[in-house]
Order: sequence, then structure tokens, then C-alpha cells
Amino acid sequence: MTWAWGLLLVGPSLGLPQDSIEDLMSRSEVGAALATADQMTAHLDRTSWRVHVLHRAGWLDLALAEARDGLESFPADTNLLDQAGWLAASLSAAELTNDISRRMASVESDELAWTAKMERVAADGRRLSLGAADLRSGLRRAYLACATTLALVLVGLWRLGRS
Amino acid sequence: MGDAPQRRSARWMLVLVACAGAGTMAVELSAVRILAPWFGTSTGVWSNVIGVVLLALALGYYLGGTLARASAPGLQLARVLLLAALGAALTPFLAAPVAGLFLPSDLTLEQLTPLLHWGSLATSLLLFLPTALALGCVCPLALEIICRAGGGSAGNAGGRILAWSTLGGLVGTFATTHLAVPNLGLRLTLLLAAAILGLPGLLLYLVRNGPRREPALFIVALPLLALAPVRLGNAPPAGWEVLEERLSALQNLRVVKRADTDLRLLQVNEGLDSFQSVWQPQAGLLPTGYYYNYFAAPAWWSRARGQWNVLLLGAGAGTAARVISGCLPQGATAAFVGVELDPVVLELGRRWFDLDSPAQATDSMEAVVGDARAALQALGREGRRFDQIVLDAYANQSEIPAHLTSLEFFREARDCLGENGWMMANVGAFGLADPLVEAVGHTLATAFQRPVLALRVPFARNVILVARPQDQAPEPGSESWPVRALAEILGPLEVPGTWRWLDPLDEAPLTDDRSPTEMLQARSLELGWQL
Repeated sequence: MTWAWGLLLVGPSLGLPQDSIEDLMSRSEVGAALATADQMTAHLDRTSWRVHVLHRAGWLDLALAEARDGLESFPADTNLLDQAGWLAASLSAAELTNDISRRMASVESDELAWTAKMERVAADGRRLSLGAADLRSGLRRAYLACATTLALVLVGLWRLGRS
Repeated sequence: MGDAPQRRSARWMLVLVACAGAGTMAVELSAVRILAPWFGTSTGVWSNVIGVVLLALALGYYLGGTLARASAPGLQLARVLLLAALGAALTPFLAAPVAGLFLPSDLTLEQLTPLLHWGSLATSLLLFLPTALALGCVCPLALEIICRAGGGSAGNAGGRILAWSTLGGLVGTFATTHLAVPNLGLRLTLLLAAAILGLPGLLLYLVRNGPRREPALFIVALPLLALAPVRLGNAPPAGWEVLEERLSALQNLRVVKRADTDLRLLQVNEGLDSFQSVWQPQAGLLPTGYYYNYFAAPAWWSRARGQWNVLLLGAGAGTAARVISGCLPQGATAAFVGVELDPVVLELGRRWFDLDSPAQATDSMEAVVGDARAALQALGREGRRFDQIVLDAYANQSEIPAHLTSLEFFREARDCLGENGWMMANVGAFGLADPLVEAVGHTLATAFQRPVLALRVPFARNVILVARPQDQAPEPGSESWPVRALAEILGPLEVPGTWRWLDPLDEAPLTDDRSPTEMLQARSLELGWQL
């Protein structure tokens, strides 16, 4: 039994030791890539690259946890917000995706791609919320069907008992 | 009334109640299979169906007792039999629209878990309660008819009726599971049940009420229903085409192929986004996210040369064998023994998944039909020893059978391993702190008396447990861990937090006596979605 997720490639557009990390990742040396990211002195670089490496290695939940931690310190960082939006949507976390899309909307950015990214995360949030609403509505219909049938049964028994 | 007509009437009633008993079991057993494409056949679904049928029978007994006070119980009996027949015949046509009321599309198997229980209960109530209720009326009415005809005391007549009804149910149970469903399919099985119920009901109606037009409609309607087109089960996901669909005695099976690639999947019961086996044209590692890839590592870690003997418990259509065979170290050949419970899975494996053709011509596959535990015991008695045992057995898509996770089972597996052997188990789980992983892992560690390595599979919700009888598995990131040929799958596990050791305990969490795996799996799903 497997639930496979699509491989989503989102990388920070930083000009630091990207090549060495990407080289390591291309050789599947994930442990070494993570260690390289850990050596970065700037907190934001370290976080962004850790998120990138964890995401590329397939650890979406670990990457999201790292991104959320990073957003505590850098709440307006557009790169981290974008990464967190991808990850939350990939993990079907509707509320979190919506929350990130609101935070993205409150962040001003000069990046041309930013509007498109915001729209994408907002659309993901809406889609996931619709899925959650479908699930709740299916559950409500099931409860209603069970309750109605049992009520009819009880009424029938009561009528039979009186006849 | 003389003795002979009384005896004839009593015998006739006993035949009727036997038919009703057979029909009840045919409807009940088919009910679970009818629901399977939407809700699976988990213990929860079985409980819902059995509960609904028991409720309906109880109500039917009560209603039958009330109807028996009428002046013509024979006519009432004919009517309830015809009603039950109608219900059974219409069930396949109503299944899709009724189940569809409760199941939204495009959600994953585990997201839908709460709905699988409540949806199956609601669908069972709407689909099966009326039919089973009508069937419940049969025994009291038949009893009344026998007693009114002077056929002995109520106790004597009741005893005979219960005996014949139960015997009918017994025949219905075996015939449905082993003959009707695998050979005729669900729709014809239910139509056969309708005929078994309806034809005696029709005869009784004509005898008691004289010729009428209405019951004659039944004779015309039944063959028409048999010819009417109906699709049982949910449609394949968008972008997938169905290559073959089969009903086995155990489950509903479907082989699907992605339209844009050659990837094939074997789906079972509710399927949704999960699958039992996967095939791609080239043997060896599958794309990222398929847990089967990790079964290839032990041969490399052991630097296998010569014959590598592998026992696959839950072989499915042979995916694990193709992965292992396709990336063995140079100089090694593999001899597989694949144990699979469902013979139809093996048939489909041969036809669509190259089950009998491992990657290397020198490799061999011995496919065995049977229960994994029984097969393991038999192989142990024969003195067979393996370099690697893979446990990948699931019942109802998401449940590991309890008897394959117990301390006693893992000890039996340990005894079938060679000195440097490897035991690997696939556990569907949300992480390393998952309650099911902890329970199965600690049980395995206790049986082997060594720590067990638990590995999360990236891009998937599976954890692979690795145990060895004489040694420990290599620790991720250690010198003995990397394998160049498998860097793609082993590299991501060097990340801290993606693996852990599970130690032996004084008392194993899971034994043959106490194995709450279903509860643990429910808890696992509950925790898994608390993101």
C-alpha cells in the first residue's frame, strides 16, 4: 500500500553554495547536503536551504515544520512563504494553506512572480477547503440517513406495538 | 385436514424457510462485496453489514409475528418473499447511486476513513435493511402456517423451522462465497438469490391467491434485470484505463494502466489512491515513493554472491520480486518463494505483472497460494532457510492481519532465516512515532532480541522495519550504510529524524492472544491527519 506524492521541486533562489548542495543532491548525498546547509552562517539561508534539501529528499512534513519554524523568525520572507505554501498544499493541510495564503497577501513584494504564487497558494487552499467540505457534507448525509432509518424503524415498532 | 396434506404443507414450508435462509446469507455476503469498491471490506464494514442484517432480521421477526395474526398468512408469506426477491434483484442497480450519496470523489483513502465507517453503515441501512427485514418475516409466518395446519406443537414446528432455515443459510454461505460470486459475479449471484426467493414466493402466491397478472411480471422482470447493464464499483481515477477486472472469492480486483505511461497498478476493493502491486516495463527500482525499492538493499548490504533466497509473504502480483531481481549485486541470482492468499492475484500477476519472469533468466519464482503464516510454518517444517523474508501482507487495503504481527509469528519467521538473514516488514503509517509502527517494531525486536531499524519511505506513507537475527541493520549515515547502486533511495534516509531504532521489550505489545492492530490502525489514521 503506497500513497505516492508528486515530486514538487521548489528551491530557494539564493546565490550561496547552491551548486555544492545541488551537486550533492544530484548524487543523492542528502546527509552531506543537509550538513552543508547547516554550515551557513545566516539564519535565513540556513533555514531556506534546509527546507529545500528536506523537500527534495521527500520529507515534506519535516520541510514544512522547518519552514514554519523559519516563518516565526522571518514572517515576511517571500521565499519561505512560497515554500510553506507548496508544502502545506502537498500535505493537504487546508487550514494551513489558507493561513499561508493570507500571510502572503499581507506581504508586499516586488517580485513579478509573487502575485502568481499567491494566487496559486490561495487556489490550493480553496481546493483543499472544498475537499474538506465535501467530506463533512458526506458525513452529514451518512448521519442523516442512519438517524432517519432508525427513527422510521422505531416509529414502525411503536405502531406495531399499538396495533 | 388429513395427515398427508398437513405433512405436505409442513414440508413445503420447510423448503421455503431453507430458501429464505440461503437467500439471507447470499444477500449478506454479497452485501459486503457490493460495498467493497466504495468502502472496502474492513472489519468495520463487515460489522456494519452484519449489524444491519441482524437489526433487519429482528425487526422482520417482530413484523412477521404481527402479520401472522392475519387471516391469510400464506399470502403474506408469498408477498414478503416476492418483496425480498425484488430487493435482492435491485441491489446491484441501486448500489452506485446510494454509495455515491456519501462518498466525495478525489479524496485519498485515509482522508475518507471516517466516511468508510459511517458511509458503509448508511449505505447498508438503505440498501439491505428492507430486503433483510422482509426475509426476517418468513420464519414466523411459516411457523404460523404449520401450526394452523395442525403440524405439531409450536416448539416442535419452531425447532424444525429454525433447523431448516439455518441449514439453508449454511448452504447459502458456502455457495455464495465459493461458487456463485467467483463464477457468476455479484449481479448474477444476487439475481440467483432473487430467483431462489422469488420463485417459491410466486408459486405460493398463485396457490393461495389464484392466477394474477402482478406476480407474472416477476417472471418477466428477472431475466430483464439479468440483461440490464449496470456498473458495479467506482470508476478508475482520471487518466487511468482498466485492463482487467475480476471478482475473486476474497476481493474485487482491478488492473489499471496510466494512459500516458506504461505503469500498471493492481487495485483492490475500494482502491481510491492506493494499490497492491505495481509494474513498469523495466525491472529494478521503481520511481521515487515506492516502498518496494527498499527490499533491494539487504542483498547489497550482505554483499550477496551466488543464490539469494527470498521469501515474500504477501507476494501480490510479484512487484517486490521484480525490484529485487532487477538490482541484485553482480554474481548473485535470486530464488523467490512468493506466498499469496488470493489465487486470482497470482493469475493477474502472471498476465499483467510478469510474476513468473524475474529480471534475470537465472532467477526463479515459486508462487504458492495460501496464508502467509501457514506457509511460513510449512516451510519451517521442511527445513527451508532464507536470506531475506519480506512481509508485505495486507487485508482490506490498510489492515495488516493480526496473526502476521504477533510475537509468535515473528519468532517463526526468525527460525526460517539463515544466520545472516534479513527480515523486512512494510507498515502503512504516518511516521516513526506512529502507534502501529511502535507496536509492530517493538514486537519484532522482542522476537529477534535485537533493535529493529524503522525507515520512513520518502514521498509515501510507509515505514519499513528491518531486523536481523544475529546482527543489527546498518545505521543510516554510518560507513556500512551507503550502497552506490542504491544511493537514490538510501541517501534521503541519512536525514536525522527519518529513521529510528526500536528496542526489544520485556513484554511484546502484540501476541497471538492480544493483538489490537485494528485499534492501533484507527489511532494511526487519527494522529496522521493532525498536521
